[in-house]
Amino acid sequence: MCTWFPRWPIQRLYAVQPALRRQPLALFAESAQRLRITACCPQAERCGVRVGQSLADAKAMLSDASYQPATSEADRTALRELALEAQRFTPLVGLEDAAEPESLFWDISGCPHLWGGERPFFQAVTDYWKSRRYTVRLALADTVGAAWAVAHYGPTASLIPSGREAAVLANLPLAALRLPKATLSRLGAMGLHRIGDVQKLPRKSLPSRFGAELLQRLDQAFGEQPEWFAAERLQEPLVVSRTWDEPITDQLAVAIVNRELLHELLAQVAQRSCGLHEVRGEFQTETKTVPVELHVTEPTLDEAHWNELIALRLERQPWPGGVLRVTWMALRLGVLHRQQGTLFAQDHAADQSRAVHALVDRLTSRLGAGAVLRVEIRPDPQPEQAVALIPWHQPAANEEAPFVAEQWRSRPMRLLPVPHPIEVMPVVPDGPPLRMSWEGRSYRVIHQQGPERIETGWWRTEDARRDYYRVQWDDGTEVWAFRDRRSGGWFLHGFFD
Amino acid sequence: MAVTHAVPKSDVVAELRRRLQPSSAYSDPRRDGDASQPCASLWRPGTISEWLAPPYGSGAVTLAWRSLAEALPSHGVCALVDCSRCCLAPAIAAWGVDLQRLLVIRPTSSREAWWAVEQSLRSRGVAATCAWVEHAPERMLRRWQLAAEVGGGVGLLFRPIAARREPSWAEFRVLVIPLTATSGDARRVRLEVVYRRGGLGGSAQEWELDHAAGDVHVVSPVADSTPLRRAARA
Repeated sequence: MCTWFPRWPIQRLYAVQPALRRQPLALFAESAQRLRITACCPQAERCGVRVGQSLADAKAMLSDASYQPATSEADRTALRELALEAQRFTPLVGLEDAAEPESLFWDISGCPHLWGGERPFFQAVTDYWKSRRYTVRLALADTVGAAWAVAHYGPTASLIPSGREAAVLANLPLAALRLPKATLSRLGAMGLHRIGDVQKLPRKSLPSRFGAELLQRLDQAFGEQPEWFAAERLQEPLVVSRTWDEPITDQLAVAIVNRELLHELLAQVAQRSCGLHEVRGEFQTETKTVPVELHVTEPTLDEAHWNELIALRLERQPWPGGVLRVTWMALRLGVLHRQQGTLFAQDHAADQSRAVHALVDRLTSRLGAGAVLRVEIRPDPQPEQAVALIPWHQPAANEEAPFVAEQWRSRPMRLLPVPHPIEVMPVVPDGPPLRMSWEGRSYRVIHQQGPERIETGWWRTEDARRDYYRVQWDDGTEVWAFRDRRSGGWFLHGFFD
Repeated sequence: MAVTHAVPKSDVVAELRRRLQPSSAYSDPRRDGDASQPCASLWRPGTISEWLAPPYGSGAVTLAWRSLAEALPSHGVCALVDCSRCCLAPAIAAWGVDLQRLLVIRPTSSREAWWAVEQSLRSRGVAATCAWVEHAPERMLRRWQLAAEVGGGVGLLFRPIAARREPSWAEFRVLVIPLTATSGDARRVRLEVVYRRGGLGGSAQEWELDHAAGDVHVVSPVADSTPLRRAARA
């Protein structure tokens, strides 16, 4: 069986923020250095907003809509949660294998009779999603491929009797086979639009003319080839806790309990041959529950390391009253990195890598993930947008730009987050600076280089039109300043330290 | 009866490892004869250095990193403890440090910054720790020096010129004064070693920072234009 949630990113947002239903909604994401619409509600579509359109065009067309950034990872996670939720009907429910999935596949073998047959089961599932205010299209067929095809392109709520797939599929468009766009356009150019059209062609000629995927998808839809999907599985949570009748106010006692609980938790994790990656602690006090979340760069079972991280985090954790209950829960497990040791020749690179991970974990525990960062270069000419500092453990973005040392040597070592207005006396109007005032003192400009013109960001809220100068003052200080070409004002933006 | 003390095997292996380990991962500029970099002969693993400079735009950071980049070992990260949240890390990397090795730490208070500097210096995975320190108590400086000895990396502390009067546990202290003579893409600074452990401070040189080439070099002193004979008669 297949359940399709049309416009899933929109439906997910509606579920999280019901107030969004009151106005047109469109989602956007950056693509090829432009913000483009990735999904929109039917209301916005009726007003002319289209997927793939630039955000600026969409706003020009429909200004009173709500425009939200798309988060495909959150969409996938939410759909996964629905798959787990659907396990009340069958234990095998999983996501479709797509970059941005919108459908769930169900293996209902052995389940419908519990509901009195396939039709009552089908009705129960339909009613369930309706009660959750989701718009869905369901199809029940013998194969995963046929169910997907009918759910997306067939009549609403289709229950295809066993063995009748061929007749139904023959009238559906070829897009129902989940083929790539290039294959579909090749087929379209040949005048082949329906699945029945392709079935009439000799099978042997299909792979060489349209690629191997066409035959594979056809066979999967008609049950000639098996098709699997990965069912989401509910794992038994790893939780350890201690409860007291009287509140404990002694920090040392709490620390000892933490150590004991962590020891128990790590023993449970070790039984699964995994390392602990992320953990959540909850300290229930007399007035409220204080949550604490910790994670490490690499999964580990190192008890001393975890104890140190917990101590660092709790060192600055205020306690409103005594603690009644302490709970530690493993949020994420990971594969343990094991390496064959050597007797004498130490692997310095591996040792140092471990030491860096340990340092990052310690710093993150005390300062927070937002304070322990690595640098990514972004393809943006605007200086304050060209560098992204992201948490050390976060994976690299796909859009990272190459690092060109020559370009960066022309940038100051210290860049003010917000350009500071500065008084400047230029040689001629709109010309290079002659004197500058900074922090109540006036400086004569000894030497200046520029202008370096930067005009960018027109697709953002405010564009930047600047003429940058590298300026040396009479005391030897070198600064980076620019004249804003819109307002004519001068701004100090950095120092060549 | 002779008493034999059983030494655990792990201790024996650890001791043998220690003996086999090279004494320093850093290149030794004195041994390598690299005298083209400022303070090339001063970098020593497990020590900290202080760079005293005016608060803004002096060129001290450029000079220090260009100098250190030559001596950095191939492994380990370079930690930047950036309390001001203004440090443009790629601009530092452009002077010879691998961008992937830069770990930027942004504490929100001085105390957190001091702690982060100590942790970073103490870690064996950190090749260099760089921090801008307006003020730090003497005991903290001493802790940093001990932490650097444990970690084996080097520490670069950028401090205001006024800190010259404060006690220090640094291996060396240099004073960087920007000069106004500049042409094209180059600028000049005066670098004076005001203190060096062992008492050999006091030397001063003018350095030119070539932004186009990404290099620094000593400015050769220009000879007196007055002929010697004429000067002798004067």
